Amino acid sequence: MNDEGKDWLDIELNKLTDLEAPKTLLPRVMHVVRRKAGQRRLSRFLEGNRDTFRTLLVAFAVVALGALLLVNPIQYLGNVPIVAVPLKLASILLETLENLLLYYKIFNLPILAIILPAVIASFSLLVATATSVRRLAAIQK
Amino acid sequence: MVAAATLSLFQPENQISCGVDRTMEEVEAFESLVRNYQNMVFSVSARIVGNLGDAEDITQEVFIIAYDKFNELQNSSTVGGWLKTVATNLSINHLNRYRARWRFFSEQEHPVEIAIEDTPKSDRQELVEAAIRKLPDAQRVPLVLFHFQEMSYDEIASNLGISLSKVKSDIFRGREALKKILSK
Repeated sequence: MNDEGKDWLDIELNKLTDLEAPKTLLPRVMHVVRRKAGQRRLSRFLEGNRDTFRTLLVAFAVVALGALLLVNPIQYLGNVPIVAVPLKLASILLETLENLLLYYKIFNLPILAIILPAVIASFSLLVATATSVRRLAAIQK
Repeated sequence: MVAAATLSLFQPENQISCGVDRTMEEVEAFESLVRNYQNMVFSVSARIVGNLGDAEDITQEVFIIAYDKFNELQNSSTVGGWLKTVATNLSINHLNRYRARWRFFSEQEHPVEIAIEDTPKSDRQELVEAAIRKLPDAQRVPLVLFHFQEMSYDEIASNLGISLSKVKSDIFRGREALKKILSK
């Protein structure tokens, strides 16, 4: 709007300054923001260590599988009536697996002795590759 | 070997605490942004919706959206303009929820009589603000967008989804109503 077209109403409107926001506004906004910041902090931590958590989970699963074969929990729980049948079935499967891995041999070596290093080596290779790719990608950015 | 590979993925402890510090710094920086712009955002909303309570809610919503985009906004020189645009859009959306009322007022041949006797007449600025707030939505919104947001008639028409001629006539009516009140 040019100055010639301005009348007293335009002058009145132009004189107006910003209204004062209510005193309650800032605390209200910051309350929500602090809650969101807490969530953001947690998600940043989880996001930043996502690969670590994944790796730990897989490593734990491998260790748990090994422990399952060695400890054989069936011997402690086999007498509980409700879980007896499925546990017995699991026991048979575990025993079969144990026999297969420990007593069957290829090139005079137990199957476990061949599979275990292969599993560990491939898992380590996978972790190392993923880490390298991520770092290279970060450098390229 | 697995442990070694796993350990290589861990972030150093100082990097984690650095993340926490960064969030705290962000909150502090955001608080100062709210302090700087709260009056401006509140004014935009209050003038468009014409209700101080609703304007406070809309202002809060604007700043929460701003916090979600704070990383982009923090170093932007157009943060004020961005906040103004978001406040305008949210305020118009708020009014659109009461579209029926909007139509009712916009179809009135003669605007309803506006009483502002509850405003202390000693303060001229308060009087003008109260008069603007009490205008019918259909007149107040285009008038505010034109005078305070410096939008063109075309922009107002496309933002409100109404015709260009209606924008012009609503602004004209709004101005006449304001003049009538303020010259009393």
